[in-house]
Amino acid sequence: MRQMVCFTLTSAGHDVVEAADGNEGVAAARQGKFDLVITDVNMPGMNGIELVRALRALPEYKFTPMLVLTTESEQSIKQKGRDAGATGWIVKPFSPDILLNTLAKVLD
Amino acid sequence: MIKDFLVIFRIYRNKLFLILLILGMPWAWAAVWVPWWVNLMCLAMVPIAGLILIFRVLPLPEQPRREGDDSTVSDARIRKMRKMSSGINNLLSRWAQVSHHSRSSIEDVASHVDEVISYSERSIIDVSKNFINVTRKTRRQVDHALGLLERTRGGSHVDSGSRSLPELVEAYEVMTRHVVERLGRISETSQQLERRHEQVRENLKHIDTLLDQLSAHDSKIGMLALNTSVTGGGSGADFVSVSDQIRTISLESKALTRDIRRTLEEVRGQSQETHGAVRQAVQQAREAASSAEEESGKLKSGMLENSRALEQTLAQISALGNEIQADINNIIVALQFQDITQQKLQRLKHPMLTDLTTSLRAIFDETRVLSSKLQTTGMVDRSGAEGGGDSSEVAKDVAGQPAEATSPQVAPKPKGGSSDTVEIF
Repeated sequence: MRQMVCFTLTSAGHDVVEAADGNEGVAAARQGKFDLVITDVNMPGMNGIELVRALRALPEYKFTPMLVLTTESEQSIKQKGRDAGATGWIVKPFSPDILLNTLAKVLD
Repeated sequence: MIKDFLVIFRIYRNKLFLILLILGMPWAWAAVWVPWWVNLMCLAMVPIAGLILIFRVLPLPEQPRREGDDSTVSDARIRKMRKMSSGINNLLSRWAQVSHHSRSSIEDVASHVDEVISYSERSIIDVSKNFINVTRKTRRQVDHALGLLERTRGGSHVDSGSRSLPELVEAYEVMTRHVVERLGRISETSQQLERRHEQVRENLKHIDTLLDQLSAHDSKIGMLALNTSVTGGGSGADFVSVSDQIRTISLESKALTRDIRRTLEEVRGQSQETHGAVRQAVQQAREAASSAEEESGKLKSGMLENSRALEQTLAQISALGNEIQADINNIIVALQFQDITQQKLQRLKHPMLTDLTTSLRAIFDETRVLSSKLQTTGMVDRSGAEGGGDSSEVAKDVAGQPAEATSPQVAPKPKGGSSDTVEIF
């Protein structure tokens, strides 16, 4: 899944840095500043919602757009993501065009 | 724990008031202000109340013997058997609860597994179809590209109406060669014209010299006339001398005039030749221009046709590329089902199957303990219950009901792209 998202984004001309799980994502985020964060909800170790919460706690990611990819479409989980500070929510399966359009919308 | 309390409550609910009274009575006195010795008495009554509770209240009342009971079996043994039956009854009721829970869990598992299988099948079919489409379209792209290459190479299958690019290039070379040849001829003609022009210039210079000589003769004649008038009709010898001089000058002038005429004739001839050469050069240049224009028109139309064909082929290749991109997008969507099924299976594994396994293990342990107790009391045949096989059989009978018969068929979720796929907060 991560590789597919990476392939879609790099094909569209974006520079992408991958992280295997939430902890790795936080470590990568501390090392550099990114324009956008895309995360899955279900991840080993720190899950996506915890990752969003952890990143929002960092001052440099206070206003960075964060998209959550997941198979979950329940309102309660969405609400958790929103409360954690996620900018948007994309339910799998999604077309690469939808991902890129959402990306453009969020980055605007 | 709660269940145990419930069982105890069910057993002693008739004596609940008495138990509370016995336990609470000593402390009821202590709740108000009493002398210290009353408190001591209350404290002394607590163990007495406890002993009464343990030995008089809590023991189960002896059941009267029933009609079907074996008269040879003692009352104590019957009570023990009834107690064991009660334990077995409790166990079976818990078995029923767990099996009911297990059945619903297994039904959930079955429906999820059906869903996962459906997702997997559909994604595999989608991926396969899209791969076939991609392969087919790539093949068509390759065919178009090969056609383009063949056209570029000038293959034999090219339409008779159009020429290949190498042919067009060759035709351009031929046309350029013709133009260069004609320009070479025009250049030679121009050189001839230049040479003739040089000759004309030489002749004109010669005429100029001759005219200078004639002018000199004219001056001489003037001088002779002046000398003659100054002398005023001198001797006859002088007159003869002057007339000789005039004759000589006249002869020279005549020769010069002839020479001028001849030169002028030459100039006229050269002028006519030049005129002819100029006309020829103009004609050659016109023919060259006309031929080049005609050939250029043909080449231009050929190039335009080739460009159109090239544009059309590239448009087809581009359209196929877009279709391939769409197919790859579909493949990416289908491959996401692998992720979805993986997460669904993880959710099945934990907590559903884990909880189910834990519950079954607990029931199995209780059953084994009960079975060993029964064996210890000697109320069951030891050889028949060896290794707890019966309890395993019971567990299998209760929990292992065929799930396929009861599990509902779950329709697969609609594919992605629905309106609730994306949500921006």
